[in-house]
Amino acid sequence: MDLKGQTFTLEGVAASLLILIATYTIFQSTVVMSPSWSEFNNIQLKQLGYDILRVIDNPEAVNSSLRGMIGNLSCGDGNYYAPAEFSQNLSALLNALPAYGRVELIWFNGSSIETAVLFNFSKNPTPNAVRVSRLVAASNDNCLPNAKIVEVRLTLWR
Amino acid sequence: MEVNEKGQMILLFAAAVVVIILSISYVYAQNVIAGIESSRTMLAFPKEEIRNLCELASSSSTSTDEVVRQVRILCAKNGWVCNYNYPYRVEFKNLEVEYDAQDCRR
Repeated sequence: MDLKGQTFTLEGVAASLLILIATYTIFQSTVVMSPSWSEFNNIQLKQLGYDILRVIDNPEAVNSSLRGMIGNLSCGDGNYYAPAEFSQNLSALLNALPAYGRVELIWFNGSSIETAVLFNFSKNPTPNAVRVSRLVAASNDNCLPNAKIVEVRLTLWR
Repeated sequence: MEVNEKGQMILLFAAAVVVIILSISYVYAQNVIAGIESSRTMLAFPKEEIRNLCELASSSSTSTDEVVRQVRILCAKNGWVCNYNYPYRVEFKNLEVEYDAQDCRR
Protein backbone atom coordinates (compact mmCIF):
# COMPACT_ATOMS: atom_id res chain seq x y z
CA MET A 1 0.00 0.00 0.00
CA ASP A 2 1.25 3.48 -0.76
CA LEU A 3 0.63 5.79 2.20
CA LYS A 4 2.38 8.82 0.72
CA GLY A 5 -0.80 10.53 -0.42
CA GLN A 6 -2.38 10.26 3.02
CA THR A 7 0.72 11.74 4.63
CA PHE A 8 0.57 14.66 2.21
CA THR A 9 -3.05 15.31 3.12
CA LEU A 10 -2.34 15.17 6.86
CA GLU A 11 0.57 17.52 6.52
CA GLY A 12 -1.56 19.80 4.37
CA VAL A 13 -4.29 19.93 7.03
CA ALA A 14 -1.74 20.68 9.75
CA ALA A 15 -0.17 23.47 7.70
CA SER A 16 -3.56 24.91 6.81
CA LEU A 17 -4.56 24.91 10.49
CA LEU A 18 -1.46 26.93 11.30
CA ILE A 19 -2.22 29.46 8.56
CA LEU A 20 -5.91 29.56 9.54
CA ILE A 21 -5.12 30.25 13.20
CA ALA A 22 -2.77 33.05 12.15
CA THR A 23 -5.39 34.57 9.79
CA TYR A 24 -8.13 34.23 12.41
CA THR A 25 -6.00 35.97 15.04
CA ILE A 26 -5.23 38.83 12.65
CA PHE A 27 -8.89 39.32 11.71
CA GLN A 28 -10.16 39.02 15.28
CA SER A 29 -7.73 41.67 16.43
CA THR A 30 -8.59 44.16 13.69
CA VAL A 31 -12.29 43.82 12.83
CA VAL A 32 -14.48 45.75 15.23
CA MET A 33 -18.14 44.80 15.19
CA SER A 34 -19.94 47.97 16.19
CA PRO A 35 -23.73 48.14 16.10
CA SER A 36 -24.66 50.64 13.42
CA TRP A 37 -27.78 51.58 15.33
CA SER A 38 -27.48 53.16 18.77
CA GLU A 39 -30.90 52.00 19.94
CA PHE A 40 -30.15 48.33 19.23
CA ASN A 41 -29.36 47.55 22.87
CA ASN A 42 -32.42 49.35 24.16
CA ILE A 43 -34.93 47.78 21.79
CA GLN A 44 -36.55 45.81 24.62
CA LEU A 45 -37.07 48.93 26.72
CA LYS A 46 -38.49 50.66 23.63
CA GLN A 47 -40.98 47.86 23.06
CA LEU A 48 -41.96 47.97 26.74
CA GLY A 49 -42.57 51.70 26.29
CA TYR A 50 -44.87 51.09 23.31
CA ASP A 51 -46.70 48.46 25.38
CA ILE A 52 -47.16 50.90 28.28
CA LEU A 53 -48.64 53.55 25.96
CA ARG A 54 -50.91 50.95 24.38
CA VAL A 55 -52.08 49.64 27.76
CA ILE A 56 -52.87 53.08 29.19
CA ASP A 57 -54.61 54.22 25.99
CA ASN A 58 -57.66 52.19 26.92
CA PRO A 59 -60.70 54.38 26.10
CA GLU A 60 -62.83 52.50 28.67
CA ALA A 61 -60.73 53.79 31.57
CA VAL A 62 -61.65 57.41 32.12
CA ASN A 63 -59.06 59.21 34.23
CA SER A 64 -56.33 56.62 33.82
CA SER A 65 -56.38 56.54 30.02
CA LEU A 66 -54.33 58.85 27.81
CA ARG A 67 -57.48 60.42 26.42
CA GLY A 68 -58.93 60.97 29.90
CA MET A 69 -55.62 62.32 31.15
CA ILE A 70 -55.50 64.90 28.35
CA GLY A 71 -59.15 65.82 28.76
CA ASN A 72 -58.84 66.29 32.55
CA LEU A 73 -55.39 67.86 32.51
CA SER A 74 -55.10 70.89 34.76
CA CYS A 75 -52.54 73.60 34.33
CA GLY A 76 -51.22 76.66 36.08
CA ASP A 77 -47.95 78.61 36.46
CA GLY A 78 -46.49 76.76 33.49
CA ASN A 79 -47.01 73.35 35.14
CA TYR A 80 -49.26 70.61 33.81
CA TYR A 81 -50.90 68.22 36.28
CA ALA A 82 -52.28 64.86 35.18
CA PRO A 83 -55.17 63.31 37.13
CA ALA A 84 -53.92 61.50 40.25
CA GLU A 85 -55.25 58.15 39.02
CA PHE A 86 -53.19 58.41 35.81
CA SER A 87 -50.03 59.40 37.66
CA GLN A 88 -50.41 56.51 40.09
CA ASN A 89 -50.98 53.95 37.33
CA LEU A 90 -48.07 55.15 35.21
CA SER A 91 -45.78 55.26 38.26
CA ALA A 92 -46.78 51.69 39.14
CA LEU A 93 -46.01 50.52 35.57
CA LEU A 94 -42.64 52.29 35.55
CA ASN A 95 -41.71 50.94 38.99
CA ALA A 96 -42.50 47.41 37.84
CA LEU A 97 -39.98 47.55 34.93
CA PRO A 98 -38.09 49.25 36.70
CA ALA A 99 -37.41 52.39 34.71
CA TYR A 100 -37.60 56.15 34.92
CA GLY A 101 -39.92 58.02 32.63
CA ARG A 102 -40.56 61.48 31.31
CA VAL A 103 -43.90 62.34 29.72
CA GLU A 104 -44.28 65.17 27.25
CA LEU A 105 -47.42 66.33 25.48
CA ILE A 106 -46.82 67.84 22.05
CA TRP A 107 -49.53 69.61 20.11
CA PHE A 108 -50.07 72.13 17.32
CA ASN A 109 -51.78 75.29 18.50
CA GLY A 110 -52.70 76.64 15.06
CA SER A 111 -49.42 78.42 14.37
CA SER A 112 -46.64 76.53 16.17
CA ILE A 113 -45.83 73.25 17.89
CA GLU A 114 -45.90 73.41 21.66
CA THR A 115 -44.59 71.03 24.30
CA ALA A 116 -45.82 70.47 27.85
CA VAL A 117 -44.09 68.29 30.41
CA LEU A 118 -46.22 66.51 33.03
CA PHE A 119 -45.41 67.74 36.52
CA ASN A 120 -44.72 64.35 38.13
CA PHE A 121 -42.82 62.99 35.12
CA SER A 122 -40.36 65.76 34.37
CA LYS A 123 -36.98 64.24 35.26
CA ASN A 124 -34.20 64.76 32.73
CA PRO A 125 -33.30 61.56 30.86
CA THR A 126 -29.82 60.06 30.63
CA PRO A 127 -28.10 59.86 27.20
CA ASN A 128 -29.05 56.19 26.68
CA ALA A 129 -32.78 56.82 27.06
CA VAL A 130 -35.29 55.61 24.46
CA ARG A 131 -38.25 57.56 23.16
CA VAL A 132 -41.67 56.25 22.21
CA SER A 133 -44.72 58.22 21.27
CA ARG A 134 -48.39 57.78 20.53
CA LEU A 135 -50.86 60.07 18.79
CA VAL A 136 -54.05 60.45 20.79
CA ALA A 137 -57.20 62.10 19.50
CA ALA A 138 -58.19 64.25 22.46
CA SER A 139 -58.60 67.90 23.27
CA ASN A 140 -58.35 70.25 26.22
CA ASP A 141 -59.11 73.83 25.21
CA ASN A 142 -58.04 75.19 28.58
CA CYS A 143 -54.48 73.78 28.74
CA LEU A 144 -53.78 72.65 25.16
CA PRO A 145 -55.50 75.27 22.97
CA ASN A 146 -56.59 74.25 19.46
CA ALA A 147 -55.27 70.70 19.89
CA LYS A 148 -57.30 68.02 18.13
CA ILE A 149 -54.53 65.46 18.31
CA VAL A 150 -51.84 65.22 20.97
CA GLU A 151 -48.57 63.35 20.74
CA VAL A 152 -47.86 61.69 24.08
CA ARG A 153 -44.11 61.17 24.17
CA LEU A 154 -42.68 58.82 26.77
CA THR A 155 -38.94 58.86 27.34
CA LEU A 156 -37.67 55.81 29.22
CA TRP A 157 -34.32 55.04 30.80
CA ARG A 158 -32.99 52.71 33.47
CA MET B 1 22.35 17.88 -6.35
CA GLU B 2 19.17 15.85 -6.04
CA VAL B 3 15.99 17.89 -6.24
CA ASN B 4 13.32 16.99 -3.61
CA GLU B 5 9.87 18.25 -4.65
CA LYS B 6 7.91 16.75 -1.72
CA GLY B 7 7.99 19.97 0.33
CA GLN B 8 6.48 21.95 -2.53
CA MET B 9 3.65 19.44 -2.82
CA ILE B 10 2.86 19.83 0.89
CA LEU B 11 2.73 23.61 0.46
CA LEU B 12 0.44 23.26 -2.56
CA PHE B 13 -1.96 20.95 -0.67
CA ALA B 14 -1.91 23.32 2.29
CA ALA B 15 -2.73 26.26 0.05
CA ALA B 16 -5.67 24.40 -1.50
CA VAL B 17 -7.12 23.44 1.89
CA VAL B 18 -6.65 26.97 3.24
CA VAL B 19 -8.49 28.44 0.26
CA ILE B 20 -11.41 26.08 0.87
CA ILE B 21 -11.59 26.78 4.62
CA LEU B 22 -11.24 30.54 4.14
CA SER B 23 -14.03 30.65 1.59
CA ILE B 24 -16.31 28.69 3.94
CA SER B 25 -15.46 31.04 6.84
CA TYR B 26 -16.17 34.02 4.56
CA VAL B 27 -19.66 32.68 3.89
CA TYR B 28 -20.11 32.15 7.64
CA ALA B 29 -19.02 35.74 8.38
CA GLN B 30 -21.47 37.03 5.75
CA ASN B 31 -24.24 35.04 7.46
CA VAL B 32 -23.58 36.79 10.76
CA ILE B 33 -23.72 40.23 9.13
CA ALA B 34 -26.86 39.33 7.18
CA GLY B 35 -28.47 38.06 10.39
CA ILE B 36 -27.68 41.23 12.29
CA GLU B 37 -28.90 43.42 9.44
CA SER B 38 -32.17 41.55 8.90
CA SER B 39 -33.01 41.47 12.61
CA ARG B 40 -32.20 45.19 12.82
CA THR B 41 -34.52 45.85 9.87
CA MET B 42 -37.27 43.87 11.59
CA LEU B 43 -36.81 45.76 14.85
CA ALA B 44 -36.50 49.17 13.19
CA PHE B 45 -39.75 48.75 11.25
CA PRO B 46 -42.15 51.35 12.66
CA LYS B 47 -45.03 48.95 13.27
CA GLU B 48 -46.33 50.76 16.36
CA GLU B 49 -46.49 54.09 14.53
CA ILE B 50 -48.29 52.52 11.57
CA ARG B 51 -50.70 50.71 13.90
CA ASN B 52 -51.35 54.03 15.64
CA LEU B 53 -52.20 55.70 12.31
CA CYS B 54 -54.33 52.71 11.37
CA GLU B 55 -56.39 53.13 14.54
CA LEU B 56 -56.87 56.83 13.76
CA ALA B 57 -57.90 55.95 10.19
CA SER B 58 -60.46 53.43 11.46
CA SER B 59 -62.82 56.17 12.65
CA SER B 60 -64.30 59.01 10.63
CA SER B 61 -64.22 61.29 13.70
CA THR B 62 -60.42 61.08 13.86
CA SER B 63 -60.03 61.43 10.07
CA THR B 64 -61.29 64.96 9.60
CA ASP B 65 -59.11 67.36 7.59
CA GLU B 66 -58.01 69.31 10.66
CA VAL B 67 -57.00 66.19 12.62
CA VAL B 68 -55.05 64.79 9.68
CA ARG B 69 -53.34 68.16 9.22
CA GLN B 70 -52.23 68.20 12.87
CA VAL B 71 -51.05 64.59 12.63
CA ARG B 72 -48.94 65.49 9.58
CA ILE B 73 -47.36 68.40 11.45
CA LEU B 74 -46.58 66.31 14.56
CA CYS B 75 -45.16 63.51 12.36
CA ALA B 76 -42.98 65.99 10.48
CA LYS B 77 -41.45 67.09 13.81
CA ASN B 78 -40.29 63.47 14.29
CA GLY B 79 -38.95 63.25 10.74
CA TRP B 80 -41.81 61.15 9.38
CA VAL B 81 -44.27 61.66 6.55
CA CYS B 82 -47.72 60.53 7.67
CA ASN B 83 -51.02 60.60 5.88
CA TYR B 84 -54.27 58.69 6.26
CA ASN B 85 -57.86 58.67 5.11
CA TYR B 86 -60.98 57.04 6.40
CA PRO B 87 -61.28 54.08 6.03
CA TYR B 88 -57.93 52.36 6.64
CA ARG B 89 -55.83 54.17 4.02
CA VAL B 90 -52.42 54.78 5.62
CA GLU B 91 -49.14 56.20 4.35
CA PHE B 92 -46.02 56.29 6.50
CA LYS B 93 -42.49 57.19 5.46
CA ASN B 94 -39.33 57.62 7.46
CA LEU B 95 -35.62 57.35 6.66
CA GLU B 96 -35.77 53.57 6.23
CA VAL B 97 -39.34 52.56 5.47
CA GLU B 98 -41.91 53.56 2.88
CA TYR B 99 -45.27 52.13 3.85
CA ASP B 100 -48.32 52.78 1.73
CA ALA B 101 -51.45 50.68 2.19
CA GLN B 102 -54.97 50.93 0.83
CA ASP B 103 -56.12 48.84 3.82
CA CYS B 104 -53.79 48.91 6.81
CA ARG B 105 -55.58 46.02 8.53
CA ARG B 106 -54.03 43.53 6.11
